Amino acid sequence: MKKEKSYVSYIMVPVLFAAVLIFNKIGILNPYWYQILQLACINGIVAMSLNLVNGKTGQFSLGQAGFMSLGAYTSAMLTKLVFAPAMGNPVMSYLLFFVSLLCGMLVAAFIGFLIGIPSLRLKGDYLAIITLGFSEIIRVLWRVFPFSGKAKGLNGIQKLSNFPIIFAAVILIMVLLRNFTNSRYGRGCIAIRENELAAETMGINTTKAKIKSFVFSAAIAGLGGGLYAHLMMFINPEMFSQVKSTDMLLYLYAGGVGSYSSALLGALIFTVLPEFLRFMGEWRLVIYALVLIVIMLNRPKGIFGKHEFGFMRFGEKESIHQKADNGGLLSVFSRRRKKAEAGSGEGR
Amino acid sequence: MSLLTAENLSIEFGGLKAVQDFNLELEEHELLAIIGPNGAGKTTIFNMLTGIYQPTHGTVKLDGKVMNGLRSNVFTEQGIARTFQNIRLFGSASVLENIVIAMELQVKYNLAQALLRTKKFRQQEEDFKKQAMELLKVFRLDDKAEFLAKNLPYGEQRRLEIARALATGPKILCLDEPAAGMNPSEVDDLVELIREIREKFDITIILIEHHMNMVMAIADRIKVIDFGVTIAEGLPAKVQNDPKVIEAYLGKEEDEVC
Amino acid sequence: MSQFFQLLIYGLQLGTIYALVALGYTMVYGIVNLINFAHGDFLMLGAYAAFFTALFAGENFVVCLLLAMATAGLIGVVTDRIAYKPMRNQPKLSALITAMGVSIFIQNLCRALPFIGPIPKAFPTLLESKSIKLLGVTFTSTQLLLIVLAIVLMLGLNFIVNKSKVGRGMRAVSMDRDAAALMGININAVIASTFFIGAALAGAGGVFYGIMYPTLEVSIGSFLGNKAFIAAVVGGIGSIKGAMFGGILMGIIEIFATNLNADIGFGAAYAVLIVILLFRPAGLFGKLVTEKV
Repeated sequence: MKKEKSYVSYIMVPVLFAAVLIFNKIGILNPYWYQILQLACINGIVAMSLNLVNGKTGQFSLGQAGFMSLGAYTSAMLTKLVFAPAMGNPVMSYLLFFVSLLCGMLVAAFIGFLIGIPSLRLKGDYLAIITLGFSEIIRVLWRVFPFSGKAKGLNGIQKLSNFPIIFAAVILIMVLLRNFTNSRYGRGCIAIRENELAAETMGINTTKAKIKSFVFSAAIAGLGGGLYAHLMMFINPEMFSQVKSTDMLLYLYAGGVGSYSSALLGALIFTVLPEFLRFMGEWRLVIYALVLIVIMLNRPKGIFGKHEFGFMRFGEKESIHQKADNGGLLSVFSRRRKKAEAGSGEGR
Repeated sequence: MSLLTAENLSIEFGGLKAVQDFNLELEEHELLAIIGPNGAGKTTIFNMLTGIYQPTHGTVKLDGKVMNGLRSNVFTEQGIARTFQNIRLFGSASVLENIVIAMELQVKYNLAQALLRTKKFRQQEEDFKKQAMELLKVFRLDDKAEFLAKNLPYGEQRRLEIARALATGPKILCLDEPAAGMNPSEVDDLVELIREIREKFDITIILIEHHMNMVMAIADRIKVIDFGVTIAEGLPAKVQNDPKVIEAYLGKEEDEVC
Repeated sequence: MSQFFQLLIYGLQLGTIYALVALGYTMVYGIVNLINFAHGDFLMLGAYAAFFTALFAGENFVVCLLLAMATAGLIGVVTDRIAYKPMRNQPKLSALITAMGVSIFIQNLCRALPFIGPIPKAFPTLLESKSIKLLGVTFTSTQLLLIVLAIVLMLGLNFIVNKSKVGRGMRAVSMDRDAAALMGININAVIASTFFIGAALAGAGGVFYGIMYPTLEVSIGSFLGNKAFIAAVVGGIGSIKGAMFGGILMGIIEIFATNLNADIGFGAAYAVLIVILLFRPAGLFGKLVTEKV
């Protein structure tokens, strides 16, 4: 049963991709919605990165916009100010674009590392507040730093992001996040979320594990930022304010915290929804907020809960029973099993 | 050489001397029980022996290495594992995942191999799952491998916690009141389980417990703590008749008047 | 030197406003463990209530202030009932997201309502201001009055929390809600009065701020609320003393830093926040809760 389901999601990926491209070509998906869809995918990338820290590691981070801005500014400054003369032909431009994105990710990861070391000692709301604080400090620095165009930001960034690249990035990030989560690294994160002290006594260096997840998340947010800059073609510090961070949080929690698939869907829905409501003029965001409140009141664990797409479940819990049966150690205990089950019912 | 040595271990909390001059020489294969009234400082001793609290004075030596100032994950690496008085399972993770998480120290692949799911990674992960299932079998939890830990009944949660501690591959296992909240028949099962564990895993055990019957049945040696001070020590039979121990548990006759 | 004192007075004026607003954050956090993201919006609603009162009932400071506090307080209680109460037993972060939703809702509703709208309004001059010169420092009677009034309000709150029956309930609920319920304390009444008092103080803060900077717009809620929130955290969220002290400290720091450079003034609050949290993870007056092993 499960096997079949995961096939469906494997097939859905290329089908969705082709459908969007075809709809765009024949005009059903006009350029405006095409752009919104790409934006939604980028938001999805950042929301998924937030899920790694908030959903899987249980650390409440609220500064994702700061890391996005690091990726956006770094990559945009590279393509605009450094690599521009070398970008003669398309092959070269895309190659250098990827290099820029990678640099943006590295810078975001590095700053994430620097911020993570002192911040991750804090817990809960305090961690949220300090990450928010760092994110706002980064924004102030962009306003002061001369190369970043101060408050006006950077204009005339080449439009290098396009749907295929963004779509590929979404898939790539999902696969990487899945593989990270289904390894010792993700298990360490989950252990920390569930009980940090017990995690530590299981031999996990919780400080390092938290920093790893935070840095990885920052790098992904940096990629989102880089793609965002080259989609919008201009950036300024206000685009990466606290509002952006809280938007990401909304996507994640409205979708369903703890699941990457839900984070992505949450971002898609809540990016597209306000655009659908444009005809309502001033009332658009009122309805948007109402929808959000109603969802949270009725489904506090998010619209999609903890479910993951089939291909995200890859490598988990497959037919463990069979494996255990042939490699069994002892049969002595089977005698007592029934007794234990009968007795355990009376436990607390 | 003893496996675990504690010398003059003392700890203060804001002037309150919770434990004073605790000494311990733990030999291999031994089963030592630490008993004492509530609030005597038994769990605090465990916390110092497993690196959760830093002692104010004294040293802990584990397998020949001085452990003072190290994190508790390093204690685990050095071969000590524990359970908790108030169960601390990874509740929203499955029973199997609880065990596999504790195999962290055996992991040999790196981040790149994990992200790319190389053959080495997949083989090791497969191995972990197999080992974990075998361990769960010993604890009669294998048929509940996919249950969430928090959904297990109380007695099974206690067993899972012991299994999880064993998954770290320890030389010493510290059990903090494993029989707390269990009924007599469950306690009997637990005694048998601890005996099994000792044989199968060739392990040294320190046990904190209130159930006297249980302690008398399995302990090789007993230490009695009261108000943070060791008041008696020795073979079960000897400790049982020590007047100081009886006093600590039952109180002096004058006290009862109050 | 005289400029120093001048700035100090401004700082105090702004700081006492922050303190009033921070108190609401800290009280709600202490009682229901929720960062009430919509708290700044209560302030904004209070300020608008004062504006409309002045428009229709004349520019009487006392009437405007009282109506602003009552309006903000009532909206606080209603918000709690509708949006937060159902979330009490849900994961903390879901409640937080709901609070964010409420904040977005209130702000945009005000923008959409024709009689409020997105265009800034001029806040009425509710107080006649006289210039006072003392030891070479010039300040206005309004400044003095507002600072004193803010302090009086805070002392009043302190009295309520420490001496009244409601206050005793608040303290009990903040320590252990279930135990308080078992002792016969009406939890819902305590939570409602907390929201009322907290929001009413924010409403007063809104009026004071309107008098200080007479441009009234919908976004002052989130703008001021944010800074007051930082102040509450710096002081130690959950601590009433911390909120007062943190508010005044942040006000003074902001005025001095802005005097140097606008961008620095902008970042100064966050820089102070980070430094304080790194060295005192629970804020200046907050208590760190340690986990028992």
